[in-house]
Amino acid sequence: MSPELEVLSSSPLMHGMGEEELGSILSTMERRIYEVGDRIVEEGRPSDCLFILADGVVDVVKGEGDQAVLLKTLDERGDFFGEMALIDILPRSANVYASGETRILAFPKQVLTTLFSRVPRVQMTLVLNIARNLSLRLREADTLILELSRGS
Amino acid sequence: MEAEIDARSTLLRDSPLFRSLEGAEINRLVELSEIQEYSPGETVVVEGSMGDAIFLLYDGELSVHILGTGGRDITLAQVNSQGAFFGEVALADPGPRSATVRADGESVLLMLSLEALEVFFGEFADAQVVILRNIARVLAQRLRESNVLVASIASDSSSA
Repeated sequence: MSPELEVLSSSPLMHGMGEEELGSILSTMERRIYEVGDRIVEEGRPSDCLFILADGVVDVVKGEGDQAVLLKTLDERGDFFGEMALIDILPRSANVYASGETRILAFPKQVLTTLFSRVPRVQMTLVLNIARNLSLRLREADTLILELSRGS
Repeated sequence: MEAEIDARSTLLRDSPLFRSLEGAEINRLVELSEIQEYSPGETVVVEGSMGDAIFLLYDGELSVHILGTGGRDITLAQVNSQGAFFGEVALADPGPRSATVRADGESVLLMLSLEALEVFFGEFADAQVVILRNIARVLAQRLRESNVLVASIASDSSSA
């Protein structure tokens, strides 16, 4: 198994995907390397890519400067971000910065869409995994809101 | 009867959950749906129970509650506009309900059980990914809103 295929198959985003399907997804991949402080995703910009972390650490940050709030740190191989690009056409909702040297697998939305029309099951599985992950994060965010508002 | 079916299909067609579905698909969902009536105080969905249906508000008023620390009842939201929906997470993420929904006034709901939806997806396979994407879109929208709230509470408390 290639290192990239290993990253893919370890990602919760790919849960339930067959080896052949993983291979077809991998064929749409671009490898990217970022240095400390590099901005990988810019809040407010159009969403055009899905990203999977191959190695390194990234910070998801809402706002900039004094208003910046760290929403989440991703540091596990297979962690993903930018997936909302696949389900809506809204601009990026947060910034993502590399907080060390970071290797990323990027999947351009346009290429994935072509793959979806060829292999519909890939889309179904991806969308299901995204929805599951969103629902989990929504529960986490709502718990955090409750805790924060209780604390203040 | 016919007027009632028209009203049901309008409710489904206008819902963000069923956006982009074809007329035939909406008609089938109407057939598979069920009208449910609740009196004030009755619970529709119980936190912790297994999610097995999606509900759309036809008429009435409900509220969403969770149990806080020490069994304190916390009201999260009101459901009072026609077409508002809840329980949709069950379709993407089968598991225990994350909140309790209770009727505050006489309420009429349109219910689609997961069982009925299974039947529907068996007949209209393409509709499944459309509905899942719609649900994901709704969840993404809610998450964006929650994240804005987290960021504003966090930056308020850090500047205070």
